[in-house]
Amino acid sequence: MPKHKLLIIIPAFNEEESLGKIKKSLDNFRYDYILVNDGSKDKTKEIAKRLNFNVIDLANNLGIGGAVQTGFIYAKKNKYDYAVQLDGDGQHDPGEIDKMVDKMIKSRSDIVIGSRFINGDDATSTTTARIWGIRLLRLLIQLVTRLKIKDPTSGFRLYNKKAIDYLGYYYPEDYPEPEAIVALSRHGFKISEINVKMHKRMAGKSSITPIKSLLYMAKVAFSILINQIRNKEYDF
Amino acid sequence: MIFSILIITNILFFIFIITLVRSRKISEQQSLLWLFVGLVSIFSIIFIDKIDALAHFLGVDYTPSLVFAFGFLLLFIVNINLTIGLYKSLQRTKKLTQEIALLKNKVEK
Repeated sequence: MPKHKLLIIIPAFNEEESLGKIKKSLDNFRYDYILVNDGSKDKTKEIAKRLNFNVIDLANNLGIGGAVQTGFIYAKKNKYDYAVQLDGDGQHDPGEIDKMVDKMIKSRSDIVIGSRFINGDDATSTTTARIWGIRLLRLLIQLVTRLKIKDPTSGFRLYNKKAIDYLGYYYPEDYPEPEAIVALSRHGFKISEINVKMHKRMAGKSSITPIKSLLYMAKVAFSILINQIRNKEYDF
Repeated sequence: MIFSILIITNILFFIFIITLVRSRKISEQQSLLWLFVGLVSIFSIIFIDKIDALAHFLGVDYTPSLVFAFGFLLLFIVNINLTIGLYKSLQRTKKLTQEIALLKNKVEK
């Protein structure tokens, strides 16, 4: 049976404090991984090189959308069968990837979302403001795609080759996680979700403040609604 | 008569902005601004009497002056934002140009 190539994409912006722990946890597995340095201003680049990460150093800060998309383009160029996004803050556990691959094969999906909320809302995993925002997003996404995605903001996702191809070409910039669900659904990709364990942010600060959360929700909601009228042919 | 022309023009404006978004010429967020402008515009056409009252309240005798002033202000703000965005783009392009040149040099050695 041919061995399937899986690439872990780690987008990192100023994550110098989390890198050591991420590397340690990755060493327990045999996946390929690349770190996409999104124009970090701290010692992320130096520490990553010292820890022997395979680093893609972006010339400009592109944001999470651009950084992860770079990973998809790399995956496509290097002919990977699967790609998994693993956030640079250490919240995602590479040990859960096996489960995701399993689910992808069994459900014949193109994308598997690693969710914090399948078994009900876990109030400890994020702030109150975000939980309400996530509930709103869930509703919106369900209205627009009919999909019942419990954790639409989770970046912890497994993609197959078909999805990698498409996302290397089109991946939303500002708030990609929910928007991508809508875009992928419109283009006929099958999306499934499983429950995964996530850690609290290990070190460093989240770049998302409560005010940003509110604005985020408004902008995403608007983007999703506008996207409904986008020309499909132009996308792909 | 002018009322109908203005309403129709406004609706055409909405359609134009939506067409731009559909064909990926502008982003959703950029369209938000212009759709909002269109909304303000259509409200001021429909509620022109309220605009008259507002002008009077502000001490402006000739209502169109107020409308033009507001229009100018909006255009200034949009312009300045564009200038800032353009500068950022130029900086990024410069950085890319330099990095590529250095890479080429490295590769061709």
